[in-house]
Amino acid sequence: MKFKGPLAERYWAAVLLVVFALIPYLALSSSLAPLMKIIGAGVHLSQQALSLTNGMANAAYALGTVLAVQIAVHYPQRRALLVYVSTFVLGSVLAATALTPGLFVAGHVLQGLTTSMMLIAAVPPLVLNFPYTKLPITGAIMNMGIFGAVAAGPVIGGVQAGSGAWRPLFWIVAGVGGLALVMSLLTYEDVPAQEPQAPRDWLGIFLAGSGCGAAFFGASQLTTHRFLDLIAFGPLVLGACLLFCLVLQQYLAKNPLMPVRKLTTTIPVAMIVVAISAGAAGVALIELIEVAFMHRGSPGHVAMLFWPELGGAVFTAFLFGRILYTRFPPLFALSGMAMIAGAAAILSGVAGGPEVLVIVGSGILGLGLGSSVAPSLFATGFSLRAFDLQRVFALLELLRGTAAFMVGPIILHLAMTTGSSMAGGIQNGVWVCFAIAAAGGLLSIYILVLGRPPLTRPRLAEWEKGLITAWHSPPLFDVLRNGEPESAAEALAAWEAEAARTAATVHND
Amino acid sequence: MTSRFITNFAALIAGAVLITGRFAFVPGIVRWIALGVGAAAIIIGLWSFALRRQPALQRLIDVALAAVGGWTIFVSCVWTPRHGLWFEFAAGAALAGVGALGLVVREARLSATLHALEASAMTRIALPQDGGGGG
Repeated sequence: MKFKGPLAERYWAAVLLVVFALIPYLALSSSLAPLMKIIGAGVHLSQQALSLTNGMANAAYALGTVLAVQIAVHYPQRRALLVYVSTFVLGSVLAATALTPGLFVAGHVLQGLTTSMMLIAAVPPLVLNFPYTKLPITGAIMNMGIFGAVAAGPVIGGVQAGSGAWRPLFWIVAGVGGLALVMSLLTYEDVPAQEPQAPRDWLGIFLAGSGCGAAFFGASQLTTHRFLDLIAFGPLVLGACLLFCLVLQQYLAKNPLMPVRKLTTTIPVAMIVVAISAGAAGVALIELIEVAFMHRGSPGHVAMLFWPELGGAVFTAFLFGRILYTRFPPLFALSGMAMIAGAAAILSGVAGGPEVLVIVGSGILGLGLGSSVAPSLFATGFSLRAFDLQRVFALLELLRGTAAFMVGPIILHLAMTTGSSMAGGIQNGVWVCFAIAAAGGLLSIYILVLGRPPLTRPRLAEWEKGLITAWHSPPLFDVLRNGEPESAAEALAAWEAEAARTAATVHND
Repeated sequence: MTSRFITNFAALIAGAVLITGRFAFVPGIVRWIALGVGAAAIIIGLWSFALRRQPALQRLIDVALAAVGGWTIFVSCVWTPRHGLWFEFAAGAALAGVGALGLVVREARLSATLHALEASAMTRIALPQDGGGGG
């Protein structure tokens, strides 16, 4: 295919493509809670069936990351992106029209599947195909795209629920998907497949598919079943085991889809812990607040309480852009964990307390989400060479998505079934979120302590060319190897020498 | 004083404080003491574990210290103050025991090292004398 879009190689066109591709589903996924009853009545689905639909859409989102990496290895990526975006638009139209329950289920699952595939196909080129001086903008846009959208979801969902209709929201999603399709055509530039002769990792795909499917099936059954009922508990445990096997298989595989072995150094492991726990605690907190206020005011009024969350996410997105060149992205991610834990502590009284708690708490939550997940994503990517970025994003999105969308229903179930009243149960749930955020933050700090990584400015010019890692990440638990402190200093000096050599080569070229 | 001595001694003292507190104060106060002692034990254990050049045995003791600290926090939060008293006593005893074990192990190793050094020094002193007698 010789066609080249008129806006190919234009930075802002690539940015718009990513924004239009990511925002619709991610905003939709966090806006559905107040709309569930209206959608259920509109498409004749019970609450359990709707919950299962959501669960399967989220499972498809998690699986899509792995599938997209495999497809990028064997097929031209830009052609695949066109297919993903077209399928997303088709799925959105199916869900928006949804004359039968089956059409809605199919459409929504397609939306989830193709969103993560678009993320994996569109974001790494945006990071790597443009000069590294654009990275701060890219970082801010990514942050906004992922968590700005999630933070905007409750506002959008509440306003839409206030109007009593749900289809307009799905039509808007289809429309934005259409814009993504237009942008992907305008920026089209054919690229060959990465490695067409490479073997296909069928086992990895099977483990990812079955693991996500089982885990999300189990989590969605908690709407109408007890936690220890076989239909809920069994698939949950089975799914978790299969996902663990996936990570292990990728660690041991000769040609893994995701570079798990390369990621087992200090900074990536600490940052993955941050991403997982921030995703799990943050999404669950939003759901708990929505449930707490479901019966206390109109959906439109409740939606207005979430504006500070969006403001916080936008503010930290731009702040992250400012600090991307510095040595602080890992510390920025850790500060996000502290803010999420702080938000949980403030929101613990939300069920019986005044609305100002939600306004303050959701603002701090937005700050926490914005400063934890995307920075940890980039800090992990900087610890490996640039050509691994796509696979790093895939692994991190798989783990974060699974944690965020699977833990939410479990904590919600806990809130509904414990405590002497609903307020007590929600308070219990919020404290579990606090524990997840605090434990995740402390664990990642301890991993950093056990590795003693030197915090240095990322060398992005050399990293972008795939020549070195952007900074030195010591082996995991380096301190426990009982090596001399000098050996750590020597490793850092060796990396710096290699970086200097590479910089000289790049400069000469 | 080495960090190992400080760690184990602090654990021993923390355990002793909890045991004494169990008999000296009312249950409501013992609960808070247990919470504080448990948190301190976790911090001490994790700090010692993260130090460079720790022997494997000391690292095991650090893990045990952190685990007992976690258990102490658990019993202080889960049981009612009155019912948790003996659990808190047991947690204090376990902490003191782990600390004492660490001190004994350190003392035994230190002693063995000193004996080895002493024997080595004696050999060095003895060798020239033998050589001189032989000549």
